[in-house]
Amino acid sequence: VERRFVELIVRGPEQYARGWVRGFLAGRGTGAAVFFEGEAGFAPDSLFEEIKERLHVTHAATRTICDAETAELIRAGTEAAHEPGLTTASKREIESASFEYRFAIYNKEMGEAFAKALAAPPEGVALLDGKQSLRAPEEGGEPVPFGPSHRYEFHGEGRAEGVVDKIVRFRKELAGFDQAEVEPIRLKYRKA
Amino acid sequence: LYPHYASALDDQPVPAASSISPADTEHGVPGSALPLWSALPFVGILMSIALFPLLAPHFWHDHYGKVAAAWALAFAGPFVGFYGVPALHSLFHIFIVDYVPFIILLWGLYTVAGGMILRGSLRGRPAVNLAMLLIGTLLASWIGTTGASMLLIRPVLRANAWRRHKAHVVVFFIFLVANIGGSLTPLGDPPLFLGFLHGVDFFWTLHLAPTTGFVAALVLAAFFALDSYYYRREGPAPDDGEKAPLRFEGLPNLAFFGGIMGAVLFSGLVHLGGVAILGVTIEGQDLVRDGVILAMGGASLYATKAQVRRDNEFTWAAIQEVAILFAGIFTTIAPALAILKAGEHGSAAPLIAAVSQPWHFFWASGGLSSFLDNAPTYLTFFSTAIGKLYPDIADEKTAAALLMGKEAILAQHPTLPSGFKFLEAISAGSVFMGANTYIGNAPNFMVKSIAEEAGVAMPSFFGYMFKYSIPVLVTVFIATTFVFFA
Repeated sequence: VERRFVELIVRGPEQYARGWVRGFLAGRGTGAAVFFEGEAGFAPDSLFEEIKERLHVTHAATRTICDAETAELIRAGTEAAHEPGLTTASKREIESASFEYRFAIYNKEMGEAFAKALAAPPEGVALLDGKQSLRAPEEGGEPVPFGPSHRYEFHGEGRAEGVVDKIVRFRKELAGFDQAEVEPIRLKYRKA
Repeated sequence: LYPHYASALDDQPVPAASSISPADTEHGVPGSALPLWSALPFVGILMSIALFPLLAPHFWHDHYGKVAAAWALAFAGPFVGFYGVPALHSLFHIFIVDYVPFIILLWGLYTVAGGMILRGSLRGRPAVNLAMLLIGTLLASWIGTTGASMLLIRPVLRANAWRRHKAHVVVFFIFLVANIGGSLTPLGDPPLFLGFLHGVDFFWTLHLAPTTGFVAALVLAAFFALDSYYYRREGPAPDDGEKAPLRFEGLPNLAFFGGIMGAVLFSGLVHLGGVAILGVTIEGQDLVRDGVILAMGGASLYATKAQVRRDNEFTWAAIQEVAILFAGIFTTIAPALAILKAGEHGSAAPLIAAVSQPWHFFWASGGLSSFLDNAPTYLTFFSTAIGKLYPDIADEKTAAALLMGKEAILAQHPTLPSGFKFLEAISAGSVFMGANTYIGNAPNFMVKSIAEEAGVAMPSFFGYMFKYSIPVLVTVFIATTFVFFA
């Protein structure tokens, strides 16, 4: 069964909140994946949040992304522990996560590995609006002084959309290719 | 080049007497009679070389020869049609005296450099990278920026393959090995060889050593700081087993480099008299030089193991491209040079009037060299300086000697200033600032492509400029201006 992910806002000093949540979950031994804002490539929720992040301004509320069960555990945990100044606020259900990618790969080995990754994304991840072109002339294309020529050129772009944890994993896999660029992960919320 | 070009125009209508410089009257009707638009094909081919690879790389790859031919014909067609046989003679002169020696030297250096390889494993730590860039910088003046780049780029890439941040290593390699390091001899960078062909002494460029040392030291220091910063963030190098010892293959090619250098030196020091071919005088020492360079290239091809060239991925594509494009450049450059040499009597008078100080020449030649190929740019400002400082001197060798600041020649012309600082500024600007963009100097794109084929994510055209060359190089060049050219 596909796991449902939610965005949970934990109010309180940011570093303290992150440490408490990680420690609490480790103590419970759930092994659940929890992503905080700025981690794992999640895009800031708004321009204001982005500016704050770039200026390293400490957040008074920590955006936490995790599955619904874990979110419930965290909420219950903060209430039960009566942690001073740490409360859970809003909770939004996430419909899907997505990120855009583009690549210009000139190394054949790297290009073939990248094509393989695109051909078999993790289950629960769909590739949308994908475009790619391969140019590998049998002759010519050697590096020359007055042109950016290559013997192998694999260009393209697209968008990957799917379940949060799979998207995080797939984005990390594509980001591992030096000649590929991945954009931050954007979340689409389920309408209440 | 110039007197022959001028002679081609001898029979044409003479402009008003007031617009003719004394040098013009001595040699017929050269640059002062030419309109600025006659240099359009020259500007066109340089702009094509600068813009097509960025805007339409695949079109350029497949059709650059046709583009160069189109610009060459756009000039040569009307030129020959209007002036007839003298125009043909003028073009023949350009090809024999400038183009052929230029291409032979580049071919020789390229062939010999392609016969050497550095094997073994190095670990790209900041100190090791600094040492490799320093060695490349020192080598570039003696085996050419292209030769040094070809020899060292693959070892540098291998040494840094494990690094997460490595694009900056390649960028600084372009700065230092593919450009700045080539400033000390005419073998180092094509502009300086063109200067040599036009009368600048082989060893004169060594006068640039303090400037080069200053620039290279600052750029190397910036590199070391940046590389150390990234290195600290990356953690220790992975242990990938036993290291292969460093090994240099293709040793005989060092002797062939020596032969090429000796031949170029010989042509600058010895005078064997001239031989006339179809009315163009070719100096005997130049023929010997070109013959020896061809022999050195041939010997390199014969003596080098095929495996070395295969491992270097050596092909003729690079030199073929240079030969074709420079055929177009040399065909179209004549009117531009003639106009500039006419000084304030020519149609480029506003430009000549605008550049009056050495630092103007440093930035003007450098600014243009950043976006146009630096060899024709050097020649353009070399002619501009002659037109500016010595409009009455018709003999180019004498003008070159005055630009070099030769005291004996200056004593014969006591009213004329020394052009030493001007020539220094033009040489430094043309060579150093070729590093400002990917299109500033021939090896830049080659190094970029080789790095990309090795999997390095190189910055875009503007990324290279805004992340690296403007913050680092332009800052260093501003400091250089105050220290050396203000």
